[in-house]
Amino acid sequence: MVRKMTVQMTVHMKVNGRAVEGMVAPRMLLVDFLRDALHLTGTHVGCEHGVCGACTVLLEGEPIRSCLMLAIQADGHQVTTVEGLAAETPSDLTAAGMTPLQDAFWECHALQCGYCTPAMLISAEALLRENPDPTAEAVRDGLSGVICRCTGYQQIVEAVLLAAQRRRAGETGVVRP
Amino acid sequence: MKPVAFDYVRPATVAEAVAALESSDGTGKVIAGGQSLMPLLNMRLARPSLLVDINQLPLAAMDVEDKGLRLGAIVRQGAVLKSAAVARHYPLLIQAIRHVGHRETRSRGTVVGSLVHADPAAEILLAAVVQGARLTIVGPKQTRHVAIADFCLGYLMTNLDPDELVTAVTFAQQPNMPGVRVGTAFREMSRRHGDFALAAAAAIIAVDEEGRTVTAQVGVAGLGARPERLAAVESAVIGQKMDRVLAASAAAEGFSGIADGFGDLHGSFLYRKRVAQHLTETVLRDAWENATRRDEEVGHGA
Amino acid sequence: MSDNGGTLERDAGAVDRFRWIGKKRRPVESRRFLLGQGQYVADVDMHGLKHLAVAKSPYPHARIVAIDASAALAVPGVIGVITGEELKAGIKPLRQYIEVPGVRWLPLAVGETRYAGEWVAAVVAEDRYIAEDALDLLEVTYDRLPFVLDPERAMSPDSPRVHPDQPSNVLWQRKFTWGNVERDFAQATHRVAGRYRWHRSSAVPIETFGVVARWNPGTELLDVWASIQMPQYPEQIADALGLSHNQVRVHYDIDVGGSYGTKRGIKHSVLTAYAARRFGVPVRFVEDRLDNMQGSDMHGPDRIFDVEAAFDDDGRVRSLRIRTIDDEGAYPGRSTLQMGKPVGAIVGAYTIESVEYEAIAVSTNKTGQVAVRGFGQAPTNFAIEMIMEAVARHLGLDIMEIRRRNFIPPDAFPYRIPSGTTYDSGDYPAVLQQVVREANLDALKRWQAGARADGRLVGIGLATCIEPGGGNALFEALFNPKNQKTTFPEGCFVKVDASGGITVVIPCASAGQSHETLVSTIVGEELERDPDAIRVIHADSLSGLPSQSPVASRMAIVLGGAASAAARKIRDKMKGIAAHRLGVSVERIAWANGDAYVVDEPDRRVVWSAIADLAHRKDHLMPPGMEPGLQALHVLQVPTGGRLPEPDGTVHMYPCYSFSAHIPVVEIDRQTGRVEILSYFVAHDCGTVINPDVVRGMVMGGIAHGIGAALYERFIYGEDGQLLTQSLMDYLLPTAAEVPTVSLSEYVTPSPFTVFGQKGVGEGGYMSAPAAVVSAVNDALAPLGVAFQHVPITPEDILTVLPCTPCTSSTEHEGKPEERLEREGKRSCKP
Repeated sequence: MVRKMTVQMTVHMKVNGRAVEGMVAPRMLLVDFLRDALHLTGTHVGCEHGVCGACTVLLEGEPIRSCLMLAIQADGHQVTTVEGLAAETPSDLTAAGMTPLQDAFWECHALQCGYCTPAMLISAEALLRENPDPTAEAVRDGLSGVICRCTGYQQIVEAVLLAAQRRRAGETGVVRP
Repeated sequence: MKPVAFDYVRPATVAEAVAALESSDGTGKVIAGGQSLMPLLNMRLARPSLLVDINQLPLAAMDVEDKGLRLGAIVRQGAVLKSAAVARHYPLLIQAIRHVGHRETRSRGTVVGSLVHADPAAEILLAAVVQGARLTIVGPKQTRHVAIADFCLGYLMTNLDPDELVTAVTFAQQPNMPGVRVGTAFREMSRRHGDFALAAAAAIIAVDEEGRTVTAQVGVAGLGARPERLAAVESAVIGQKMDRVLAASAAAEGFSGIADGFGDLHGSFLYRKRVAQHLTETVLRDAWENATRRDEEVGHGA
Repeated sequence: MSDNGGTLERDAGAVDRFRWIGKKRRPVESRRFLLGQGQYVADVDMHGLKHLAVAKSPYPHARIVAIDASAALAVPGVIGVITGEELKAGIKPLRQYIEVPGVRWLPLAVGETRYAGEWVAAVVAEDRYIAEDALDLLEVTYDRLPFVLDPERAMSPDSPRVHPDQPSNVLWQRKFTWGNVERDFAQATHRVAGRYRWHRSSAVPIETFGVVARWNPGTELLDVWASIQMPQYPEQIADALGLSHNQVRVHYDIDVGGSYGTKRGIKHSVLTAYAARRFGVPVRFVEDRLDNMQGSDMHGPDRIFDVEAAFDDDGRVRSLRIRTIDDEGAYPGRSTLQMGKPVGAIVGAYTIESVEYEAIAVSTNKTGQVAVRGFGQAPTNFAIEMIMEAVARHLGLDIMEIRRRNFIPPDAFPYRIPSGTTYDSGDYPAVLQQVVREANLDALKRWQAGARADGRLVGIGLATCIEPGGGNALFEALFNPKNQKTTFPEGCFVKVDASGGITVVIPCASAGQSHETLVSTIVGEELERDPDAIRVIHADSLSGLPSQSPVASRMAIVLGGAASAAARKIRDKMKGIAAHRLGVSVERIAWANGDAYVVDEPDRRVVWSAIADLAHRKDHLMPPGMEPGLQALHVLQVPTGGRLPEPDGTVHMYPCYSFSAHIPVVEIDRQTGRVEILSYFVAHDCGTVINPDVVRGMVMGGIAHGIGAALYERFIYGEDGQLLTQSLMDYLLPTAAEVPTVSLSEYVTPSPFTVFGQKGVGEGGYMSAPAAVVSAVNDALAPLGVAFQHVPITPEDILTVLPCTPCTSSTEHEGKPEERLEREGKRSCKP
């Protein structure tokens, strides 16, 4: 048997490029570990049953629900949260420290209260990595796992299409300092 | 909505996993992708004393073999979707998985996990029932192979013992005969994109050079405690050329004997039955058309 | 039908007056949200913070016999348990806005539980996991009581009583008559009647409600951080806890993760604050999704409308009779008033001369209601628009034409409606014409005719909507004459520091409405300084100015007006300083880009930073006796406000009236009953637009919310009184795949009552979309002679009225529709 511990277990993972270590109860959800132990509060909790998508993060580059995974299960894995998006494309950042995708969200007003926004960014990032030239329909399909209650989605779709266009053109839409 | 306290083990071998389950006296649970189990844990509807995490086990292989498609217990739904070999030889599975949840759940959720959860409206379960599939089950004393029809007993119920682990599923090959072409189709009705189906239908149809149906595998989900093959529909189309009239009459015949079943606030049984009959009709036609289509797009339709 | 969402058309002259207003500007709040740096209540952390969780009643109505907390208290990490009995002794009941002395609403049930999911006890523990462990061990013994779920059944005298100390389940009832309804009905040629059902739904933000409370016995201050959008929130906490109002400090610098009216967790906050004082620790209570759906008292309106219209051959509607029953659930709180706001727009956009309006609030054994976007106007507008369609159908008139014949004409403004409210401005025929043009309605109708001939069920809908803005909440007094409140202000504080930096302090939290963008744009406009350099701070309730909170589409109007006035005070002071420095009278000072100069002598000037320096550091160069520094505050009463309702219920309510017209195009799958929205056109007039992207976002979001109410969202209770749609798997929020691309165009009739001509914009999309979508569905089904009169319409509802076609599908899409319908009708099989 590899390990069996009732109370606390050690977990190692790489979060936003940084190696972290923590002690967790086996039942601790990954999202709670990110928020409470690592103070990465950009990832949000909306339903804790895998429907709203507000807790979406990248695990090994794939978007997942961090409320449907235990922190201990992320042992040995790489996690990216909204706070780490910029670090993954440092050469493309705007003056405000944003990736082209974040900048497109700002440009298109693709958010209101901001609560689903980190998850939308994560899912959109995963979508664009897989499909750099999506149709509007593909964007709607790709983002349908994250629920936004403010925007009606349209400006989000526009932002993702704009980001895709700029990525393909190899430009960020901003003047670099 | 936080889980109860439990122990957690991450065994290195299948034998260790089974031993851990055995040691828990029936209160242990296997976690793979967790996309069905975790909501139950968070709502405390599942209260295991031990969680056996199999994600480190060497069960990630996806083998397209002569005797079938073998998927290890931690093969993700999303990984299957990306497989060109599966798309070519097992298109029904791809068509089904496209309807399962969202990208964020498919990247973690496993094919085997969906089968073991045995939700009666689960798309993968319907595909397995229609395609034919066998589960490889490892227990403390023996390894057994169980056909999906015998495995899935009813609503969230299987014949898996608490100390057993499903290590793989093997989907049966499509019919493979000289001069025979095969088409598949999967259709469902759900309230929203990505929701469980209110009703779903799937078909695999083999057609000879004259366009006559040689074999037919047809099933529906959403009506009862588990997906079912529709033998009456299958026999009604065999030997025939498909057209609208035949599809309609075959579906009608298949459904005439279904008197009661499952309904909920999103759709009564009668609603589901009516929609399922329509979907059955549609998959008959679509599968037949996919089989008789000249180009190479078979498997990418529906 | 592009994904770019149509065009923006507006009165160019109105915008060109402004430098920043109406121009594209990236909302300033977005930056922190995009970087994951928002500060929501669940992100508030502090030393020693403990966590609260609630136990919920499993029964719709039961006597609480006993609560045994001993096992729960024994769990390591549990700080304590609070029951309703304890709470009853320590706090006062929560505020009711109507007179219901027999309703005692406390955060935890006392004596009886009145709905399944009502909170009966609270656990405070080291973390939420442990708190839930303790809840598992809490033993509550219940004695089940009879319950009532149907509001009409609840009205009968023999119904089980939700509150035994109330004389009946009818909590509030009044019939208003404005104008000569009897005469108008007697003289009109025709009448139609309809019963319209708006089933229970809500706003369901993705962030649940949360609150953190900390009591400091040394300062005797209660600090509260909350995801709140609620009038009179701090004072209600203080009143419940027996504190002075100046002992409660609510921190409004908390980002609210969506609200749409509902974030009014007063019971959560009082409970959490009580726990913080009781145990001497800071306490956080963030609802989980089940807490929120089952027991938060945050469901929305649940109404039955009986409406009758009296009209003439030409389609002119003379009079309306509206009777509405609202199922309040167990605790009415402020929700009954949601039948009051519609009084201010009770005739919609139409010249209807008399109205009888009866409003009935009924209690049942369901969770309580709260304010939802539009504050009751969305269901009422649905009923008004439905009866207009019924009139059109009765006369065989087009649904566009019936509106045109009844619209208040553009030259009639300001226009007083029978219930006493004056609409400020509008051009309804022009807005309708604009959406008809944008939708290319003639082409759409040709397409529809062709599609129908092919057997497709396609429909083109229409709804219009009056959106009151400004939040003159006189329905408080209308529904409770003891509540003589006529002041509904917003305050804004502007200061310029010694370096010339501008800071604006606003008195409320924001839930996505972009208030920081709003006030920085306006202050920048007034001072002619770059809005992006203006810092906006959310005050706390003790340091901030008066506020009615960001409800009722009021902030652009009232807070915007206050910000403008405060900025102008700053500018006037700066001109005075400059005049003194330049040795001229202030009348000779002109202003450009924040610099002051002598009229016609632009070289004689004091630049912005120099004036700031003078004001803060050079008293010897200041006008004698002038107050040092540059700071100004302004508290603005809601425009046109201040008069109590008349005894007959005539009342002038909100100052501003936005207008919109929606045309959705839908197709119904006749085999599954699924409704697909193929396209959606809106023309919209909210007066002067301050930020085009923000306005667009509000309209789009409101429409998506309205599509949810029309087709997806419903709180359904089983016959056993259990809430069946308590998770987001069953309460269906629309995803990006369900919401269509919307084509929006703006039209501008400025309001005469606001500083820039702006009106409200937060609610109209939600008020129109349900009626518009139902209109389109009904148009699609018109060949079958079917018209739905309820929301949400489910696929099963639709299939129930469609002939069973599998038996005829060999002829699908074949033959003329009439022949086919007849054929199918004959073979229709009733499930």
